[in-house]
Amino acid sequence: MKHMRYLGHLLPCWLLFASFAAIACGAPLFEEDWNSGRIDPAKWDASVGNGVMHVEPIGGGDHALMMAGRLDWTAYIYSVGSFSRGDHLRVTFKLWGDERRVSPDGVALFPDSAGITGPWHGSNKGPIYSTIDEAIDMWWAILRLGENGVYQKGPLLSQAFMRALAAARSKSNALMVRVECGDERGGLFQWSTNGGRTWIDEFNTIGVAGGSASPLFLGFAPGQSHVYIDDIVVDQGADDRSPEPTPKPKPLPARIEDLSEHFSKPSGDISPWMLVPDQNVREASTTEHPGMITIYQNGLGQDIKGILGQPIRFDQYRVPWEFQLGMVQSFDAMLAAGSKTQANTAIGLNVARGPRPAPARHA
Amino acid sequence: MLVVHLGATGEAGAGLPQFADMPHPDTYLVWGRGDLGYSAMGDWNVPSIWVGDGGRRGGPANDQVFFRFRLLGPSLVQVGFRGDQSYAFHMRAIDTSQYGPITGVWEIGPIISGDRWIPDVLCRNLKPIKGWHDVGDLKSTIEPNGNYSYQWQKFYKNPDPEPPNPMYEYYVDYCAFFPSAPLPLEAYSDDFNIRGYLGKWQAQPQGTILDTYSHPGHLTMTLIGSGCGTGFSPVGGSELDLSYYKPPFEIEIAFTAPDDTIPWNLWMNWQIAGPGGGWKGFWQPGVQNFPEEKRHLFINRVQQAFGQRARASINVEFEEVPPESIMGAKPLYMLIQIIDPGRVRVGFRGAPTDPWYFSKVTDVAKDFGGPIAKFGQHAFSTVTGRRWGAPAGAPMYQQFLVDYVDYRYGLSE
Repeated sequence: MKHMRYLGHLLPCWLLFASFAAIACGAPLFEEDWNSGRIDPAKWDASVGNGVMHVEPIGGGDHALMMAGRLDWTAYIYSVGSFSRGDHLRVTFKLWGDERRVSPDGVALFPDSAGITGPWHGSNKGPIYSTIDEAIDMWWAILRLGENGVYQKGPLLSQAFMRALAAARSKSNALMVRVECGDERGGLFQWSTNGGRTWIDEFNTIGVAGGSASPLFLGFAPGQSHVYIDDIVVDQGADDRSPEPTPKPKPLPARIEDLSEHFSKPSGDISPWMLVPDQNVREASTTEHPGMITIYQNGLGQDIKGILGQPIRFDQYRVPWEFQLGMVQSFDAMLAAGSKTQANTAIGLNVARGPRPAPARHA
Repeated sequence: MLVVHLGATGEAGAGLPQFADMPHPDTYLVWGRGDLGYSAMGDWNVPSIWVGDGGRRGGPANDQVFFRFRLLGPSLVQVGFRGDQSYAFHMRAIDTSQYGPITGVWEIGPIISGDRWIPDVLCRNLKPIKGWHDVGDLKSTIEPNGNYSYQWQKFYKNPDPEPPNPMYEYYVDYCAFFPSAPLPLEAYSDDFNIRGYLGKWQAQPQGTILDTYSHPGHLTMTLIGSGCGTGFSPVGGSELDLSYYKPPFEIEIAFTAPDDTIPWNLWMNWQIAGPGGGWKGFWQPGVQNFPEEKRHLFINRVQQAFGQRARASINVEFEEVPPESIMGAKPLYMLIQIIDPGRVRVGFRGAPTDPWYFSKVTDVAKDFGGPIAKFGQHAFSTVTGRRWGAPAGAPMYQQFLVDYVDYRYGLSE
């Protein structure tokens, strides 16, 4: 086994075992963009093993860590320093893969399974799969590029996540992953396909299940094929998990009829309507089939809703008023063309009331 | 409120035969979900029809599906569905008073399922009709020599339902708001210029097809050809209560009638109520074509034969019978004026720039016995066949093309 250790015996002990404890909430505790062009032994303890691992230029002076393994978990990388659990300790990073079957170093890669484990570990010593359980008890993200596949411990990863991860092929469309450690135990696993503008909760075991080790170490190990990691940031976050995208309010017109839209503008403008959540809208076009919006889902496991930018107050327009919705069913879905199994769809009218008023207080 | 498709036709996949009540392994449902009352929840039992060769049609299995929401008051809404734009909505009311007064509609619009509601919630609440099943049918063969043989197909486990597959496209045709009944008078107007859109209208569901796509810019009313009394009216029906729609107002329609070689007629179908309430009669002002006589006559009620004077509850007369140069025009423009609850007038013209050719102002008390309180039924109508009081000879597939209807306060001169 080729085991390259950037051991700290060349470095002062205080640096080796320094804890990246929080000083001020929100300030990064640790950052890594790999733009030094190397794996910095002061920050990382790397084992190449039977795999491949190096910092690779990705264009424009930017660099990323490329890792490739052979599913024997001999290739991995740990942080040298540790992090104290608490105050919403979390790590955020970008992740993508590619479909190369042979590494630049000539190592043949198994084509049918690729992925990565991590990111939190209870130790930075020993095989990477043995240290992860202590942290938050989650293995995550073994993906087969282009297909779905999961090898993990803990809650099942969604097909939506697997599809999103498989679709991430470069830094420009990288998947962003954020894993927060519960202050006592467990973790919250979130991901984003829009650069962190909105986050999707994949699962959350905070306070309920999972390991409780502290201090914690960062660690990643590739499964097979190529995985890139970049822009790692450890910080302590606020409790800001998965807010619904907030539509930009637009003033409602004076006449209720003017809210109507038949989606025939060649510009593609569908205002005053908007489709949410935008991360699950892969395409929305008025030119694919003029006269209506053609919508493709992103496969993120979420309903897509068409909404106005703001609620309609009861006194906004003369009551009674009505809303009519015309939809066209998909020829292919009705036929189940392209599916070897089934084409299940549900389309229709969404009406939502506002929050219920608070119960009256009695003196 | 959702239109749900489960499974496949069987042409391209195994589908979900366990829920299908027909040999093809697919199912369509109209389904209410959520937590807003119970009257619209669950299966609406809107059926579709097994076509046999390729799946289903009708109701939720139609290519186009339409949904309607009405905000009727601070604790009452209605939701509805129709699978054919020509006809009425299937509406259900939801009393929301248990939640307190409605303060607003927070979200309204289309929804496309993308989560695991179908496999994890819906399908677990559907009653499986079939257990393990044969995938097709008894496979039988009749050979050229007449011998008959058959072979049973293998039995298969029912497939597990899957969530929606993002490979498929979804389409939103329109999202339209407008005042609901009683509409402001002007809101009844329509120029039918949005191709395919018929949100404000519905037809008599027998013998009649409406569309706005076969003749762009027009509402096309096609009569299948059966003897019928039919027409088109505002969606959900309406009546013009003169205490709400205060005269003077007028209604104009521009339409192109079928070929003059056939008998046709088109008119406003009004039931009339007086101040004491109760429907007391009919007034049906319009035009009737008599091909043999080559005449187009103004009518207050359809005539069984040329020259027969069918009396109505209001009988408008012209000083001089409107000339054929006007009444034979295509399109023809007709104007009905409600001057006040006691007086009405009708006009025609053959071109939009021509002056109106008006009837005499008619005192409705003469035949009706008093002022008008309400016009009910309120549908642009036609009849064909002797059973409906029209001459015989109306062929199949005659079409009226309506360019516009315009409702407005005030009176044209």
